[in-house]
Amino acid sequence: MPKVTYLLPDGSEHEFSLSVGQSIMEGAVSNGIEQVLAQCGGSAMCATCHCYVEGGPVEALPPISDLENAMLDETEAERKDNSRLSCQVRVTEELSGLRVAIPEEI
Amino acid sequence: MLDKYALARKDATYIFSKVNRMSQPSYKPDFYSRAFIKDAMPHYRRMRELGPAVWLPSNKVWAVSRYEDVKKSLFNAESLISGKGISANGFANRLMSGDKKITLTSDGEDHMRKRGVVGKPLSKKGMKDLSQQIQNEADRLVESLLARGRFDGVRDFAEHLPVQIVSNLLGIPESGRENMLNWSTQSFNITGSYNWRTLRSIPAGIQMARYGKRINRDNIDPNGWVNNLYDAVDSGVLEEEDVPAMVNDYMGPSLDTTIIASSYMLYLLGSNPEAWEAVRSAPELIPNAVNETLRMASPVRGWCRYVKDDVDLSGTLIPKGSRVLVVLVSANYDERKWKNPETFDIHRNPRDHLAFGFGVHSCLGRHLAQLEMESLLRSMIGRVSQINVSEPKLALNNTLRGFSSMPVQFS
Ligand code: HEM
Repeated sequence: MPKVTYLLPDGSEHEFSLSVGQSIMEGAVSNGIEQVLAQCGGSAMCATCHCYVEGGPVEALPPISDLENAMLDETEAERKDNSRLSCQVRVTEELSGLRVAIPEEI
Repeated sequence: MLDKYALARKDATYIFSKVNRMSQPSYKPDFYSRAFIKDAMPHYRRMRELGPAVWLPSNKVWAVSRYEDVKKSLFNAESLISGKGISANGFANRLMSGDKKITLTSDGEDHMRKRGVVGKPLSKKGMKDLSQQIQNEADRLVESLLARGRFDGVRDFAEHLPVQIVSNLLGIPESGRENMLNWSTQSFNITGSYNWRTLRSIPAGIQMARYGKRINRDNIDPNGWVNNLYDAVDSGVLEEEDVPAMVNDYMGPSLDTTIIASSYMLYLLGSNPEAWEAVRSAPELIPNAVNETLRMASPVRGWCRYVKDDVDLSGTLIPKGSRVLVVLVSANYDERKWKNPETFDIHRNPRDHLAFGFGVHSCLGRHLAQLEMESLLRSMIGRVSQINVSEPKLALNNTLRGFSSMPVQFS
């Protein structure tokens, strides 16, 4: 199972094994990372699952769709080059080792 | 299983479903009746006990009332659609399923396009520009109420920010601002089953629609939210004819809901003085207070969905062509999800409450509502040491639950 590391605002790091096909958002929510609100349930409609990709196999990330791109303009924490909506990134074996940071104010 | 349920609840009867030949629980009381609304919690509890989906013969809908199942249903917008109306009566559903739809009752691509436009001025980022203005107004309000002594927690406290600030942000002609609160209250009645509250709300619905049609580029504020709809017409995202109906996306849900939540917040903090003391000495508890209030207030009781394809909801089959009533307030009191759901617990932060719904239609105004509620608390913290509330009066509305008045005194 691919592993993803979540870097939380308090400085802690948590590595979880996700199933292939699960989104980074689902991995966070099912492992109790409370910052990730995911109010729209994973349909790129609310920008409350914003994260920063900090390292790992970033070349294996799926491209940003128009919808995700528009929603990323609405995030509370500053949008950066490595900003993603975690609900739009589904894990694959190739993505194992990915590191994502969860902003304090998503 | 069947015996246990049947013995446990005398209201509960079973109907035999032709669809999957399994016994389906059914619950007789009328969800929109006065008696139900006045003492609803025991009803919701019984509905949750009966199963993931319960047939309500009085309303001819399937009610979904457990937290996980409410979430699942709202997430399944492919099969449980809003585009054929979200009411429990055929008349309102026909009105809502015309070809010019508001965001709330659109589906799929059409919904996505509208939601993007309506949500623009309501984003969390957009709220940053507003926060100082709202805070100043809240400060002034709390000071004047302190000076006044006794006041009404709904009219004088909770209505102030929505009526003074939010209705102006829309940038619509005067008569709309004056009538908006009444229209909005009535539009929440129209979504019930047929009863006298539903019928009485129809004239307001017609007035509101007529008003929407009179709005045009020349009589609105170029910096208001409604103008943002015309910008979207200019950039080709909306059609000019979409605008009149979509004005209701801003007018309908933005006042009552927040008013109810704000007065409920005063009620909860007034009835739990130790919680208010805790917030005063640790303002970082403000988000807890707001989220716990939203969970317990759940201003929107619930809305319906049309069942486009057969849906299997945790083992109960809901047949195509029926309607599902998603009971948000019940989900927020589900003992499967929350410990001591009826206790106002300032030390939990229930960010995953469902007062704003869930899924693709989840509330676009929640950042604004939260900003208003947090601002009120910030204004109160340094000024109000005691909140004395007297017994509130319950408002009777088919879809909203909240108070119509509540005597309060700050000291
Ligand atoms: C405490 C206050 C509020 C509560 C409890 C609330 C509740 C809700 C709920 C439950 C929904 C989902 C409807 C559904 O799934 O069918 C919703 C949608 C919506 N709300 Fe709110 N609301 C509040 C404040 C506001 C405000 C202040 C605004 C606007 C300024 C607003 C605008 C909207 C809009 C436009 C939608 C439709 C979204 C869509 O269909 O995609 N709401 N609200």
